[in-house]
Amino acid sequence: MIWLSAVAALDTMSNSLQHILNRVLVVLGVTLVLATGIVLVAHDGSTGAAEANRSAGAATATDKVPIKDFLYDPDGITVAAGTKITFTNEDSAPHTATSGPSPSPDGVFDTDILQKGQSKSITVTKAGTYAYYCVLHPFMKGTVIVT
Amino acid sequence: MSSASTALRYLGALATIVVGAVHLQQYADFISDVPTIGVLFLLNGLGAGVVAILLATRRAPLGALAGVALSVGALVSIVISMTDTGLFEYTEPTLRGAVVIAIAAEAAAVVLLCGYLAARRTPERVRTDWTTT
Repeated sequence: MIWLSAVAALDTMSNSLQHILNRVLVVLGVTLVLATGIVLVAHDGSTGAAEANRSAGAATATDKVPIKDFLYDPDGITVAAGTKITFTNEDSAPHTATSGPSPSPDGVFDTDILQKGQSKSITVTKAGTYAYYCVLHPFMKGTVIVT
Repeated sequence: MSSASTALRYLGALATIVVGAVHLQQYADFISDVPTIGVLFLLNGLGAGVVAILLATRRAPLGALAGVALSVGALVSIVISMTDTGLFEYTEPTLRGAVVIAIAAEAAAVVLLCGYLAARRTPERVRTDWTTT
């Protein structure tokens, strides 16, 4: 019915109305193009910040790992064996912290999918260096050093 | 130009604008942090704007073709991102609200713009008044 109404309405549409609609389209199109530039500038002209911002620094002594902006923050931590490590997803997108070299899980630990605001704790009892990653976004990587 | 093809052109343009707007909103929300995918979302927003402008000009058929390509590309990308492999290592595990809106708008844009292109190729029927003697 909506479609028939639209066609019927356009049957009686004058050239001037089409001219106005064309202008509206141009305005909306230009707005989208300008909006593209604005969001690009608002994000400092950078895309893929997760990869670019990944730190290669020393591991931090902490047992809490927030996940935000597609990054484990910090991406390298040091804990004593048996320490409970808590991962909290602060992103809009769901994430996991899954042990193993990306993208191959090794079964040592896995938070499963964490939705926004969800947390899960894991415990590693054996000393060693454990790589982990996000199953949903394998470019997200981190390391847990257990002493 | 028939009124049907005109309606299809405007509605297709509107659907394409929605596609671009959703991609830009998602880019601003969090996709900008995702390598490669972020750039693709930005290009989608830009492309949708250009398609809308083209659809308002004498280059409308070219705009329609570009609009179909843009939406088909986005639909295929969403499908790939829902597989285990993901698209450029990015996975959409659930049908979020924004994803549903994007899929609906992309599907509508493809149907409407293809309809517009088809309607342009179909000659208008000559109206005959059979009651006239």
